[in-house]
Amino acid sequence: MASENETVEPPGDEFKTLDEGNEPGGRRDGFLVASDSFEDFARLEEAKSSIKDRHPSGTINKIVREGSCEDPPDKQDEIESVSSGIASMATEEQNDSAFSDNGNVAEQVAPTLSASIHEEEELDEVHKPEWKGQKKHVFILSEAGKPIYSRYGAEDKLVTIMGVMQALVSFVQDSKDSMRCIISGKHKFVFLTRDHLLLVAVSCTSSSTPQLLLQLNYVYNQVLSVLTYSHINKIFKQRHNYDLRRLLTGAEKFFDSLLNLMDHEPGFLLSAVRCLPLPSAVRDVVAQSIVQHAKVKDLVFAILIANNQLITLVRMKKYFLHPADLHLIFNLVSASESFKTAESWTPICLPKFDSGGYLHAHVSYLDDNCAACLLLLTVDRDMFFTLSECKSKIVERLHRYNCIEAIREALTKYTYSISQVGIPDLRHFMYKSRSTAQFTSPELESPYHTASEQERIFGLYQYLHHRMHSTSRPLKILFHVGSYETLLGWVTSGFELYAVFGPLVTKPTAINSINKLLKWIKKEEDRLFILNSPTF
Amino acid sequence: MGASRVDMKVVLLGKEYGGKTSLVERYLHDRFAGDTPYQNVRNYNATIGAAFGAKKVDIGDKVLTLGVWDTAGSERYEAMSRIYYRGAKAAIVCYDLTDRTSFERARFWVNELMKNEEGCKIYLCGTKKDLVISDKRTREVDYHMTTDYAEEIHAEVHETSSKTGENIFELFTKIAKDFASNPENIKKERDKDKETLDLYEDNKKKFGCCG
Amino acid sequence: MTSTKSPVSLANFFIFNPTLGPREGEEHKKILLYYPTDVDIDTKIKNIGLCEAIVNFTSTFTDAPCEVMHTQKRRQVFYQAEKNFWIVMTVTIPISHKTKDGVPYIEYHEDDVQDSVFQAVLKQAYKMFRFFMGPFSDIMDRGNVQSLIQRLEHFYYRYLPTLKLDNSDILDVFNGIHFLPLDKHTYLRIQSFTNLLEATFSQIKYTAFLYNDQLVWSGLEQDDMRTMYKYLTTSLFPPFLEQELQGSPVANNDRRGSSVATLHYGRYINGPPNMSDSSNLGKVPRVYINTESTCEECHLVVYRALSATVCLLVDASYPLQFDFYRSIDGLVGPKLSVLASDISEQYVKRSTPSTGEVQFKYIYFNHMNLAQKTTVHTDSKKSSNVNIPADILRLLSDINSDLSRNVDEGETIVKSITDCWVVGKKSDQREFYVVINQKNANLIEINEEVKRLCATNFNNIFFLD
Repeated sequence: MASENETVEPPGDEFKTLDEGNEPGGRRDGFLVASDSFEDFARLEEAKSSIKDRHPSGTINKIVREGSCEDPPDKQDEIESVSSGIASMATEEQNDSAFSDNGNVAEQVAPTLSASIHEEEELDEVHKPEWKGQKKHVFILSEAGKPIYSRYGAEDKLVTIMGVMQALVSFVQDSKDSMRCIISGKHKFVFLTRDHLLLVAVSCTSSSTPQLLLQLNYVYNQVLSVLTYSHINKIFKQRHNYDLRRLLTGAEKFFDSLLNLMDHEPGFLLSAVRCLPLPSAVRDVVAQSIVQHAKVKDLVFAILIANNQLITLVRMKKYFLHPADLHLIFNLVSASESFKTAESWTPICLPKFDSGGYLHAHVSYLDDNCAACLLLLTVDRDMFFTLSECKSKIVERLHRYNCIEAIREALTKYTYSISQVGIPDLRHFMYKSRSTAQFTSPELESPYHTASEQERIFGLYQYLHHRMHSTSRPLKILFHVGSYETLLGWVTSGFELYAVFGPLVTKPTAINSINKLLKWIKKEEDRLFILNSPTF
Repeated sequence: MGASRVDMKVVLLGKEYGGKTSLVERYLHDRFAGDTPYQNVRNYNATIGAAFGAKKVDIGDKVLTLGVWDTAGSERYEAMSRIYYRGAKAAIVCYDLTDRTSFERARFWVNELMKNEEGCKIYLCGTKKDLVISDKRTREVDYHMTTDYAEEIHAEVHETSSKTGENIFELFTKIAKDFASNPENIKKERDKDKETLDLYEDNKKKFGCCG
Repeated sequence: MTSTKSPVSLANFFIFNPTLGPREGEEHKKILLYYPTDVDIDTKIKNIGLCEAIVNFTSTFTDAPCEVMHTQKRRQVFYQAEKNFWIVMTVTIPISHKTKDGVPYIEYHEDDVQDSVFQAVLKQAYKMFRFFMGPFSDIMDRGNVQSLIQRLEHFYYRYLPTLKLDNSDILDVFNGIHFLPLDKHTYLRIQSFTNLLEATFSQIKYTAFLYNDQLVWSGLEQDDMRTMYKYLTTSLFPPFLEQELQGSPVANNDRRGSSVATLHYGRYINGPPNMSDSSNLGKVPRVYINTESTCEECHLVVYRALSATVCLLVDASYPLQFDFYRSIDGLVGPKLSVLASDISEQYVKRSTPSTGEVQFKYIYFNHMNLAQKTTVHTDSKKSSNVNIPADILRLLSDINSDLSRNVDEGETIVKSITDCWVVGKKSDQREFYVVINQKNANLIEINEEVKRLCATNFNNIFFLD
């Protein structure tokens, strides 16, 4: 024990002397906005009044103004024609609202709620045990209480229960307060109010309340990504009772897929993205090829992704991508089978970048046999053919340098095995480089190979993350010995590390392993992280 | 093959779940996703934005490259639909023969096109014909009503089935022929840009499509 | 610029039974208690309606009863104390006034209010009522709704203002008892003393023996003892001690007419204040114990000599008369005085050596016998005398609620953002929390430190790694 102690440098002082940016995978000038969504989110909650913060609109217009002097997209026109469309639908919408418009719904509903829930819903989903037994429900409804989305069950069979949610929230609002959550046993009911929309999660998973709020916020961003904030705002300002489902047809899959992704993908929790482990030489060629062949005016981002991992990102100077936006892009691609069969041209709003308008994305897979998908995002909506040509040239060059083969090779495995790290006591870990907003983590292997064990381990990570990132009582280190495993969380200014050991590991061994792990990550950082930030 | 080498732009418009993507799939790849015929509760295959595909079509004396735009039917893209149909020489306005409301949407698109895209020829296209053949009661859109309407707007009606392939290739061939037979088109294209015109070139590549 | 935080305070406290006013227009009949009182009936009905709605809403998804609602400004805690009887307590979230870019705003410190703590406070409030008044449903069965309302008002209007919500912490969650460990000889003497007492007076069903605020011996069920202990130490003893401090305790030898004048220091805390005045019997409360099973009604007579207190639970069917008090005084007074001074000698010996400088503070709780120890709090009564920062104290509750949710056994070591180390251990129904303020220590040193501490203070308790 004593000899082991000598070589061990326990967490607490070891990396204090390191300069910022020197930690494994660290860098000062990333391409992702290095921010912790949690803190970010907490701040937004505080400054709720300043809508400007939340919807920093205008980035797109700025690019348009800077980048080209001719033919600015007539966005105003688009919005105008949308609203006139809505006006024409107004008549059909007159009487189909479950709740009246006058804002004081709760007053009328609350006293009789108890009766209404049970009497009127003989045929509703809420009485089906399999519906009730779902671990995480997510609902989106309009301010007026109209159902927009439910993760499980048909929305139109959930009119009453969603009406109750709306009534509860507006009742609390009446006293100038806002509903956060309700707890019953293992169940958490979490409420997120945004302009015009109410999002509710009902969960009996190990996600904490702030984590559920974060997930709801992602779902809200997904709504914005499909419709833009300006559009939603415009619609609801004109028609308080508008049935938003008509604009979201076909988009349900994005919500479903996003929610499934968040149930096991740590990137959302960490507010970081995972990169496809790839030799840095290959990655450099990929980036160069894009820079060379996609040097097109008004192209803001070129992003190559595969299996929810980033391969490379080239950006317009001065513009950065927020990990939350990149997660939406991951979700867009992984949820859309249709991209596999054809070159697509699709509008997408990236809410952190600009919630006010669309970017236009040229989306295509590199090759029929390669799961890597290239997205070229521009502010110019008439650029499809230009970008289509860029894509062909990029693919040609990637073929020439055998990059596609290299990517395909890297994709045969999801990521890497913990055995490659060579630390016997370590079962699994997640490492986030804070400055680059990227993380790395090996595959989940035995004993975490079953779905239920993976769910449990993810729950433990959520617990660790929750305690370490508590808004009022954040921690630097958390070491927990439980019945089935030992957990270590360690947060410094440069990185976050979450590690899982067997239950019997001693503290010196655990700490020794962690130090070895950091050395391994440092050694592998070129492969695991994207350390440069190419621009057009 | 570069997507820009297109002689003629064809756009598909119509209500969501109206069978546009199936129609394009049948035409471009001669396949049909049989597992989920036409529609399911949560349509996981709904088109996002618009998908582009190109195909060469041999109309006897020459070979034309059609650039086909399959647009998303969702209302949220309505405001942006001009991006997709701008400059189209032909529009296939689809409606589902088993869904009366889809024909209402078709009328909307026809108006939209007539208002904004003068040079675009309109083809009304009823989809999912196999369904109404196997059970006549499922038909909600009357054939004669559609032909009357077509006459009114100087369009023609094609009823198709992507499942069986009925009338699909015929429709596109007709579109290509109509285009080629209009001297105005040929002239305009030639004047506009040599690059984008390979009407009179010999095509070494027999067949190609993007995607 | 940061202003000081406002304290957690009681916004309201109400009790309702939805079955009492099931029809529309009768909602007010559901209300059994509403505090504060200066609230119009519509607001009361609305707030209770909201609670009912929440309870019903959550029951759509789970059979577990609704526990808490968080809003930005308030925390509402629910407790279904008895079937259909809901108690709801709402507390305010502490705020501080801040400015950002010259714009003032209010920050709400939601995390300062910990669910487990306030759920415990609410449960305590119910148990205390039940201890003195009996279960809600029994009162209804014996009388009517009105008699329940009267008792609720009588009790809670006094009880609620005494709640020190801002000082509520992990000790409320444990709600434990400070025990006084004694040598075997003394302990046996105390036991034979209480045996003698119960044998001599068959009306005495149970006894408990305390020294200062520490429990030495109790014949009551644990849960009843826990409630009684809370009552004695927070409510009955403090004013009595205050009064005693005014004049030093006088030997009770002033017994005119008594032939055997024995010198002793015994006196009733709540019985007759003066053994020569038979007209004043004092005020002895009735209490209800074993309410979950037999529900026994007793008089709670509390007698004290020097620092030793004996609680006598006398069968309620036995009318308390002056003669009874006098005979007890005669027997108990001298014996208790002797015991008290013997204990105090041990007590002084024991408490002296621990004055050396201590780098750590700890809290210990044993779920088996409810034993609790703390060096975090400077006295056992609930007060603001805590010698660690408030956030660190809350960290203990965080760890406690994690450990109680997840595992039977476990250990958590954390380093706070302020470089303070906190260790929580749970094993074999015992929980132990240590706060070590050594900024430069590392995890292994802290681990060694805790090992040493356990070995010296709690050697047979934890299995160490």
